[in-house]
Formats: sequence, C-alpha cells, structure tokens
Amino acid sequence: MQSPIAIALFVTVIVSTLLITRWAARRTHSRSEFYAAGSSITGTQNGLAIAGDFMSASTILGVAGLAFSGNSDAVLYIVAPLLGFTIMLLFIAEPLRNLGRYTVPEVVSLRFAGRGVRGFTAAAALVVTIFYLIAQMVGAGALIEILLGVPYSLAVVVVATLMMLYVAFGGMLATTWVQITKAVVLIVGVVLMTVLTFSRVDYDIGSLYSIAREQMSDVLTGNRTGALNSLYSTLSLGLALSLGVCGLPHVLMRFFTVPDARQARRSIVVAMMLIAIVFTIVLFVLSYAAIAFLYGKPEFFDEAGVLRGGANMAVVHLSRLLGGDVLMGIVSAVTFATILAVVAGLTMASAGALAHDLYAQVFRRGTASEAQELRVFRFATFAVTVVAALLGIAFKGTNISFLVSLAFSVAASANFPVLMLSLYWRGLTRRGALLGGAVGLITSTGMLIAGPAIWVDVLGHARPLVGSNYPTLIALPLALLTAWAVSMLDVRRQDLDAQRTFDALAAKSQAEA
Amino acid sequence: MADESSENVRRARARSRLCLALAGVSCAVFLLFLVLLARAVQQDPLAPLRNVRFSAVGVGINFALALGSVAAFGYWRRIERARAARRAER
Repeated sequence: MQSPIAIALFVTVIVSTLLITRWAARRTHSRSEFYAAGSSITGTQNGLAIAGDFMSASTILGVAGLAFSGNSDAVLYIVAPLLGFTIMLLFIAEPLRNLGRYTVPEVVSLRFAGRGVRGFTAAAALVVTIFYLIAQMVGAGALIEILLGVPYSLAVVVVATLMMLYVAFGGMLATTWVQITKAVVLIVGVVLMTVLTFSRVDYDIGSLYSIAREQMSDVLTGNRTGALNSLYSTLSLGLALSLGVCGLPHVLMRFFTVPDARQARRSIVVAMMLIAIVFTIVLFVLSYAAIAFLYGKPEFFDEAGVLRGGANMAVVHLSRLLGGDVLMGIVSAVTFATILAVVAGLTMASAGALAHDLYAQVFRRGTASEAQELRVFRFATFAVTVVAALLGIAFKGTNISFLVSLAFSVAASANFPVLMLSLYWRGLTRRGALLGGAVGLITSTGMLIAGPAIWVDVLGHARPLVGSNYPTLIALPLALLTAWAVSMLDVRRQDLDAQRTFDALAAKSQAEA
Repeated sequence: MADESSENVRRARARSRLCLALAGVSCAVFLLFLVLLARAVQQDPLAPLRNVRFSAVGVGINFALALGSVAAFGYWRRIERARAARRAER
C-alpha cells in the first residue's frame, strides 16, 4: 500500500514538526522554558494541546478497530475519559496550577519534605508513561509498516528518533505546538471523513446504521473476550479509564504551561469539547461506516479473511474506500501526527520525572545547577527513547487499546490516589502516601503481569494466575485503604508542621487567578 | 482580616459541596451506564453496537453531564467573582 501521496504527506508531517522544533529551540533556554514553555501558553492553546496529547492512536485506530471486530468495549473507551476530565476540572487542575511549577511529583512532595514521596511519585509516573509509550510505538510501527512498506523495527526507530529530537531540543514549547497542530489536523481529518461517509448514504445516518446492522448480523458474531462480558471487568476498566485520566503525568504536566488557574480551567473546557466531538464521530460515524462499507469488499481482506494490517487499520482502509489514495494519505498522515504528538508529551513527562525529580531533587537533593539539570534532561530523553523503542519492538502485535488500558490502570491505582489524598486529606502522612501508592502500583502491575494478556499471551504460560486483565477495582480501593490505615496508625508521629503545611497549601491551591 | 478568613472558609466549603455534588451525579450515572452495558453484553455481545439508540443515549447523557458540570462550575466561579468584586468595592 505504498501510495506516493501517503509518502509525501508523511514527509510533510515530519518536516513541519521538525520546523516547529527548530523554531521552539531558539526560544527555549531556561529550565522553566524547557519543562513548562515559560508558562506562556494560553488556555485555548493548552486546551487544544491537551486534546492533542490525550487523543492517541488508541482513539483513532484502536476504538474503531474494536468496534469493527465486534468488541463492544469500544463504547466504554469512548465514554469513560470525559468523566475523568470532569473530575480533573473540579478537583485537580487549579490546585496543580497554583502549587506546581514543572512536574506532578513536585506538587505531591510539597506536603512531605524529604525524598521518599517524591522518588515514589516520580517512579510511578515513569511506569505509566512507559506503558503508554509502548502502545504508541506499537501503533506507529504497524501503521508505517503497512503504509510505507518500511520494516516494523525501522519504523519504531524513526518515530523514537523524532520524539527525541522534539523534546531534547524544543522542550515543552515544541511539544505543545506539535500537539496543537495535530489536534487541528485530526479534527479536520475526522470531519472530512464524516462528510464523505454521509455523502455515501445520501446524508441519511439511519441508512448507515441499517447497513451496519445487516453486516453485523451477517458477519460478526460478537467478541466474548472483551471487558464488558463481566461486571467486574466492566467496572474495573471503567474506573481505570475515567480516574486514570487524572493520573496521567503527560496530561497533568500541561497545566504548568499556562499562566494561572483561570487559564487552567479554560484549558480543560476546550479540551473536553474537542475530545467529545472527536470521540462521538469516531464511535458513531467512522466505526459504523467501517462495519457497513468494508465487510464484503475482498480487496481489504487477506486470504484468511482477516482485515489487511489487522482490525486497527479499519479507519485507514475506510479512508481509502471513501476518498481513494488522497484521503488515505491524509488520514495516515493525521494518524502519524497523532502518534508523534502523544509520544512527544510522554517523553517530556518521563524525562521531566527523571531529570527534575529523581536526579535534581532525590539524588542531588536540590544542589544541581540549572545547566546540569538540563544536561541530564537531554540524556534522560535519549534513555527514554531507547527503552521505548526496544519495548515497542518487543510488544509488536499487541492490541493498542489494551496496552493503553494498562497505563490507565496503573495511573488510576497508584498516581490518582496519592495525588488526590495529598491535595484533599489533612490526615495523610508521609508513610500513608508512600505505602498507599506502593500498594496501588504493585497490586495493579502485579495483577496485570499475572493476567491472561501478559502471563499467557506474552509469557506463554498455559493458565493465568489472575483471571482478569483489569486490576483497578481491586488495586485502587486497596491503595486508598492502605493510605488511610497507615496514616491513622501513624497519627501520633505526625508532626504539627505537616498539618500546618497542608492548611497553607490548601489555601494557596484554591486561590483564584 | 477575620472577615476575609471566614469568607475564605465559606468559599472553600461551598466549592467542596458543589464539586462533590457534580462529581457524585456524574459518577453515579456513569456507573449505572456501565452496569446496563455489562448486562446488555451478557445477553448479546454486539448489543451496544447493534442498538445505536441505547449507546447514543448513554454516551450522550454522560457527555451532557460532563459538559453540564463544566458549565455549572463556571457559573459558580462567575458568581463568586462578582461577589468578590462587590466586597472589594465596599
């Protein structure tokens, strides 16, 4: 499927984003500019960037792929994140903006002096971003392999190199503008596909659904392995996808790029509206169009009857059907830009946790100079890139949406409870935060590894140690319970200074812009 | 000074109540939708995809609640700003 138009558009995306990086690199010198674009981004721009940061390959390729293969989990992936953004708006965005400067662990550690809590939150942030990066790498490798005929491993290395260049040289400013550009082209792309879909059914959406329903009856038998097949998995994945949003370091970090709390609120409002529009279109138009128009067309399936490139490529094949090579090239380039923007945000968050939290604060105890920290930031960017590329190659072929759900599960079970409790519970002690977060992290990661998707499918064992792939319903309450119990038992040792710190921080966190 | 402090406490309490109410309603509706989804899928794995109206209404209500919460919170913020401005004038 090596269309010259697709290749030209891929090259255009790469050149444009590198030009943005060059422009940003000239304006990025200090630590504040590297980590937070000098807090100079407006609320609307940041809203676009958050939408660009959040809507990953799993949104565009994965959700439509799930629906196309008869997996009703697609509905869950669409509906849950908006609840997470509501909670983020009501409870997290303003305190984060008012209290922090560069990273999320920095905000949590304001409550508790010393290195333990900061080290833990930075490590948890790293685990989440690495899981998320693997998903993006797998999506990027598969997409470029099928569209340009480039070997999977080489495609992963190209994406990894680009993300390293954006972040190491352009910092948060380049990352922000790559994300804004991506959000705009993504919206234009899905709207264009929607118009072409409607024109194919004479602008009667009812007939689109009728055709899709007929195809479902003829071809699809329904997927019995999805999360929705049991109430436990449904609730667990629902919790992970909604509360996990509030624990994603690359999204939360974006609140430090705006000047005040009011702009932070505006960011979320803009992001939520854009995400709601795109998600609605992806589920209710593009997924049904893929089911309605692709089944029964042998040119899109291989000899075994499997969609070429796998179900994740349903939207790409649909674009070719609707608008020929030109639209397929556009959609492929948009998806590629999507992946680049998300990996840039993730690399930014990982390198920030490594350089600003672990190196400068935990290991050097705040004695590192700005120049030293920025040198380590660039080295950390390189290290994250290498790890992400290697893991991306190792996880080849794994379902993208599932990989993303792993990141959300850990974010909801480890990052979210520690952040919320440290912002809102006066009684939380250092040990409570550390042990609560550690229990959430270990339980969620342990259950994920012992679950069918990794223990059986990746590691090759006959039976899983844990029956479900979705640990949040167990790991999150366990983390909260541990934090509460340890803090209550620890209460005698809790010094008055920590409580005074909480009172002062609570007042500052609620301050109006 | 004391006035300002008690005003801050009142504002923080009002904000907490509002946020908890908005988040509570959204979470309750979301959980109900999840239960209905799981039930539907146990009878027919394709039910949420086949029954577009069910999915659209469920997703629509959840999206409306999310955006409604945003609007309600923004409205409360506006009222608080107006109140603070009146206090400053006095």
